[in-house]
Amino acid sequence: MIKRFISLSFILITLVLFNANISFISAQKKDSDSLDKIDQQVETVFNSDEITTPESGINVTISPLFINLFTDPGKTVESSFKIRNNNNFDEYFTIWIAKYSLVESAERPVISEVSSDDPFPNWIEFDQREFKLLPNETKQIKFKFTPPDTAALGYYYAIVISRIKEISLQGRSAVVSASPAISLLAEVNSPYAKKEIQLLDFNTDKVFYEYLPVEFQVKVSNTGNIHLSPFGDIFIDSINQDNVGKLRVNPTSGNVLPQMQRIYTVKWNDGFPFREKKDDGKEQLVWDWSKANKFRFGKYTAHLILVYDNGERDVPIEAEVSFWVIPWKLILILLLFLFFFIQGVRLSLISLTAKFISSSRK
Amino acid sequence: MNHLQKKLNTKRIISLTILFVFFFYVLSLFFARYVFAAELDEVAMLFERMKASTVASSNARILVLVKPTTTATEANLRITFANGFTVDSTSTNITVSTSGLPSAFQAESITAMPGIGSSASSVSGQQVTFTVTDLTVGTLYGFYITGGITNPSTAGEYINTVTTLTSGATEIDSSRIAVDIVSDDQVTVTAQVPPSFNFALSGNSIALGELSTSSVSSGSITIDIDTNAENGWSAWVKSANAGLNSASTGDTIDSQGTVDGTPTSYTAGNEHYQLDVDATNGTGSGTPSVNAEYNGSSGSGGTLTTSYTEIATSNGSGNNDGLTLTINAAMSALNQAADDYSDVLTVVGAANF
Repeated sequence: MIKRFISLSFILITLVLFNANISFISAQKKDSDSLDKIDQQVETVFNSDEITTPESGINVTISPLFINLFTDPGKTVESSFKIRNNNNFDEYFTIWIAKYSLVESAERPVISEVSSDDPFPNWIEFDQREFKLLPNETKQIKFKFTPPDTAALGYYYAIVISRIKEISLQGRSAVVSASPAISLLAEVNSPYAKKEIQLLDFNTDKVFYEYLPVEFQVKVSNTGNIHLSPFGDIFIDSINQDNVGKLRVNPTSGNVLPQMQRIYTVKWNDGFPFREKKDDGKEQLVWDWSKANKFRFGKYTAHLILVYDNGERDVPIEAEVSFWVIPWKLILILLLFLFFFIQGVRLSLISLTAKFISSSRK
Repeated sequence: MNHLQKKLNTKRIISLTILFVFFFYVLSLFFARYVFAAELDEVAMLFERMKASTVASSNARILVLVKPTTTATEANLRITFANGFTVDSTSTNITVSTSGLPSAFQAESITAMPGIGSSASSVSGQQVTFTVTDLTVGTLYGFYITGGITNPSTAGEYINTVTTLTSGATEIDSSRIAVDIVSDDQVTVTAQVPPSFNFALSGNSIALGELSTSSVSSGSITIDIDTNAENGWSAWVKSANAGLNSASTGDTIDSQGTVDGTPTSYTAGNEHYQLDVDATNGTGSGTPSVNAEYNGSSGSGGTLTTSYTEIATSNGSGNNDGLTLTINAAMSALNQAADDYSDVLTVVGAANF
């Protein structure tokens, strides 16, 4: 009997322990799952008492402007950025991740907070998530980007830097918290990448111009699934001369995100004279006499050659647009001058002839 | 006898020696006075480019400074360049100028060399002669050599000679001057300008004061953006409550309207919490523009939501681009009395990519 009791007790204890172990493993799995989703919880570095309330608005400089990352699934790439505190007091910052939401056919993406099931923030590991910057101090923040094996194509996020603590809420006011951000364009290599740009429009803002500049608009759409940066040239021909102008399209390597559109604006102002916009927004005519041989008049044709890399080769896209430059006011003044000059000469001749006839009669 | 002869010989030797010394002394005085010219009071040759093999030019001039010692009538100035200098054999190719002379050298005024013309008058081997007119003792004269002379190809010290001459080619004053030629006289400075984005707020809160039903309360804050981003920048705003929220009463003064690209009209007495954004264009290639939703006027402003909404963007670089964020708010008669109506606006700014 005692033996049976001992045996049963042993079995019961074993079962309880086994069950407890299962629960523990399950709990562990649950924690791990939640980590796989999102955890932008920042490990607290500073005590709340330690962080002073900022005296005035944020004043920081960040560099670079955006970061392009390219890697294979499961492979880590490293990068960094710098941040400088331009204020004359200590600042305490934290880093968080925001997402660029792609809006179809829109020109610019919209920034938004990452949803709780977005795993991307967990693929980034910063060497410091919270940090202190002394007045005029610059700090380099390093980070590792490790997409999982299942990751593919493009990810468009922003590294946002905010103060850990802003001034306390006071009645009848709005606290304004400013956060500079560095955009992060990550491409994870994939055989399913589709790199394709379509030219939607190549045009000038007007058909007739009195003077330069002529503004060209190159509207493209990214119909692929990876961000692309097309580039190219616009070659301008006049009626009697080829290549009177050559303009670079997208010299700053501006990206077009998938399913989005972008307009690249290019100005041609290499002429005599040309209109220039002053700081106050008003236009003035610039007479640069060193460009006197670049007097623009007549019909011009602009040829666009735009190129993008589809992953295998450079794909060219071509288009053409014509426009006119007619400095009509200048021509009118010249014609009037010519008219009065001819009239003056004519009248002088008539007068001289009359005098000659009258003198010969005498 | 021998002793007497020896004594006589000794005397002769002494006499001859004295005679010789006297003769050479007199001769040396004669030569010093009539053959060797005096040293110039001051002379300098300053090379704008001391680098080996540099050809004198308007950007690599040789400044020659001369201060006569002897009163005489100068007609020419001769520079004998040391071996190693390449001297153009055509005198007109050795060009000179007195234009742009420094006003002083070591606190001493410089006078343009009179009668120097625009080039040398003659060249003979390493000797270059320039026509000048009479110089005044104690005056520092200067001119530039702007062509026809090439620095030696090997670095080192070279001795040039500057001589003033009469019209009869008699030397008046002459000085030797050491010139250093170096392998490289310029330091190449390279620097990188990193892409940067500066974001600065004039303050960290917008005080609205006591809200009333009879007037609209306003407050503003400015954001300064400086960036060399050629693609420009964008800024977004998010409101924590989409209104002014009172924690004590639970009441909210809501932002009116929807984000539809058109500012919403408001009037005093009607509950509202609207944002008006004004942009100022700093210097740089970019022009900031305000999103139509927030491009309000007196009596209208954009709607604030709990999502990020673009408030302004620029299409190029900018220094001192500015955004003024003005909050216009008022309560209605139905809003509960409390003094803790507040909100948190988060403004995110980033360079465009």
